[in-house]
Amino acid sequence: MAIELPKVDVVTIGAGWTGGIVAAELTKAGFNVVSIERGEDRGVQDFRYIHDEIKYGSRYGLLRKLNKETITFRNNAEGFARPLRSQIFNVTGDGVGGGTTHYAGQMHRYFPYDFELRSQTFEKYGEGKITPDTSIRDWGITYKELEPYYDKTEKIAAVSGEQDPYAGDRSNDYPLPPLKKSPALRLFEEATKKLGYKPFSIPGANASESYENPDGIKYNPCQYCSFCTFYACEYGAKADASYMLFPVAKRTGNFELRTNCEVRRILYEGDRATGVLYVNVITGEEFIQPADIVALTSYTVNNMRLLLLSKIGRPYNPETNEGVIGRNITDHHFSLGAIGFFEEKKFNLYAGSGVLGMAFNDWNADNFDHSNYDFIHGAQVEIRQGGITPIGTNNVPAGVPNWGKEFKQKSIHYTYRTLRVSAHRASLPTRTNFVDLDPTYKDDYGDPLLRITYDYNPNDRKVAKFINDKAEEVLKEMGADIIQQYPYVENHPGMFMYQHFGGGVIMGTDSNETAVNTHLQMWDMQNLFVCGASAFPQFGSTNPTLTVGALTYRSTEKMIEILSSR
Amino acid sequence: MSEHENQKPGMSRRNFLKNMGLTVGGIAIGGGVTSLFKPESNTKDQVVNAGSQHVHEVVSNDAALTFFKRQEDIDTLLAAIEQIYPTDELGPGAVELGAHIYIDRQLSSQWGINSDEYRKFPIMPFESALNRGDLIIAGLRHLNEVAMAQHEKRFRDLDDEAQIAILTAFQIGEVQAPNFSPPIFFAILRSLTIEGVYCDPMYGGNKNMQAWKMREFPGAQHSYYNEIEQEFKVIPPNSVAGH
Repeated sequence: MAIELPKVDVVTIGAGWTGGIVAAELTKAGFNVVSIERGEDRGVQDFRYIHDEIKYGSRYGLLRKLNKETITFRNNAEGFARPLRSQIFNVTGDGVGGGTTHYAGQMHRYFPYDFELRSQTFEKYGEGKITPDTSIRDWGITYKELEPYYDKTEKIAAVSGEQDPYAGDRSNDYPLPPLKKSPALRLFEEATKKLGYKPFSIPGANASESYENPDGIKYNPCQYCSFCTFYACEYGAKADASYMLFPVAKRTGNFELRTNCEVRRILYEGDRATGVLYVNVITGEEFIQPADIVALTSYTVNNMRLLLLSKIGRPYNPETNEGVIGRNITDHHFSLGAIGFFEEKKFNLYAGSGVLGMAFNDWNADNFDHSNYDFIHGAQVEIRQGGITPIGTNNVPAGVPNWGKEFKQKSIHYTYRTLRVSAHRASLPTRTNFVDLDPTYKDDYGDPLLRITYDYNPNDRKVAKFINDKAEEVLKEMGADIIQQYPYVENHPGMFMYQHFGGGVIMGTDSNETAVNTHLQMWDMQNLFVCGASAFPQFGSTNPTLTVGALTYRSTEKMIEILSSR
Repeated sequence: MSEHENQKPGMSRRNFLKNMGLTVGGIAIGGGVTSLFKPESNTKDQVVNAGSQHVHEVVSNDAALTFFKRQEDIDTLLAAIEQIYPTDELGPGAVELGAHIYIDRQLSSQWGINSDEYRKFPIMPFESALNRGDLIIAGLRHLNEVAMAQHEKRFRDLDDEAQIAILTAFQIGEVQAPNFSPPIFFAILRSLTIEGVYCDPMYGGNKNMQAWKMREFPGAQHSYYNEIEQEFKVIPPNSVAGH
């Protein structure tokens, strides 16, 4: 029998990026907030010995184990969805800080075009440019409306960067200058400028210098220690919610964090959320936490799943095109670009950080005229220097085996002589891609897993081929002796390694086809907010984190408005 | 015979292992068996504590047989991992680096029973029901079965060319097995070997950071703030415990 607890103003489901934003903003505004996190508490005091490739790189030490729950995957509705049993295929954050503890920290703004993708594409190129099944949409909010929130998020997260010449207008410069340039980055910059492109330093939450953010959190400068993505920052240079959001909430006195507690259902009466049902995963005890506002701030996949399990919102049916929950699932990446081997040059690749890199967007969004191409949008081409580690990086040219004498010699020889020019592009949403609850596999509680039915859109495939050629050209200009494109991948392989999945609970202005409004409030349940990349009708080419932050900051204003007018 | 004399180019893997006292003909007994897990001269390693000038004596933990039980499995393992990452002019191979110690410990850990994975049924035909520990054992034994079937010799007694040929056949799926996938077995074995070669030394492999030195990898450094804009240079490695 679940124990009912005293009501609070706001309960957040999860203590990661979006949970942290809600907790900080609402507690600062004088409201009491409880965050319920299924993982453990942790902070910078746990990160001193983080430079361990086995523990955190090979064994995913900061990520959620999949023994209780995972996702199932199939490319299309005719197939049988298999569970993604290994963390190699399903990377999910865990614990206080969530994904922001172990991410690289990339903080990209989307282009104005991204927010009005459908109307602007049709206006400029007509409807025939995409397949009839491609369900791209306008977000219901423009870049200009979101810009002040991009600005705010960049300041809180201490984003280092410089303006991309193609990006939308900014009200302010980046709060910190870009990170330093390594020799490999300078080589990329030189080569891309020669090719007529406009390179810029990749913006992100690795602080380039000491900085105090508007909440009074002090960041230290990034040390380029190279144990960044999949590792945590012991220096306080990476914008980790456990470092810069939850301490802000805690010091108000209005905040309570409950860890090792997993929310199993959102509770409601009619069209009003009443709170959440959660279980203490250690003791098995069940609790009901009532709240005036429920903020579903867990990872995208869990956002979708919890709504389906709680039977909130109308599940999407791909055959009838009705319903909303599970519609327009979306992603970006996949491994695109080329790799270059240099015989005569060695680079200081042992050093690096998650965000350290340069990029150009001449082939992205609608930054070039697509009239003579049979696809829309494009990709951001970039070079990254995250710092290589010897287990994860053993590049050898094609034809060399991946073990044995020749492998040992060549992998050692090319360790510091290999550079990648990679690219990310959006995977456009397709009507036949959707999520629902799996009929076969369950979690430890007996609840069905989330099933993902997903494959690439024809547009994705065209962009992949196009951009791999461009990456190769850059490496050629950089002087690489051997260049190999990444292998072309025809079908989505069911690997979710980047935690950049989205959609499923999309935002818009049409309550018939979208789940939340532009303040991330459920149309069907006005005191339930669903914060995350689950709101994206489609991804842009790059990482979702800054846009998720901006949307969430905007949604907290609505939450405060609701609570203030009770 | 010093260990370094064994690193002449052209020395076959089989001879190297024999000369190290790491393989035993016939039934395995005595010093030859355990010598692969203990340094020949003593049972204590000396470790200089980075934070002070004292030399601490640390009892060698090379003697642990935490997962493997059957000598033949160990013999096959040593031979296989030495083919994956051999001793050569650049320096030590997997066995001298202690990758087998690393592998033994990994397989007796939670990871060896796949506690990080979703293991619920139904398990489909294309999936494996075996956990990693069982899979490695099944694979090592099958290497031996194939060696016996093809050459009437145990895997560890074959020459380099034959061992490489069998491992390659496993890797590309030319060999069948009733209850496991040879390519998956090989991929995990390869992965474990690379990990055991390049891990932080506290895991049992990468002995004395020798693999990092071969690789010019600086290990766990505090900061590259002053190096990030500079050209490549060799930096002496540091382990996590050296923090």
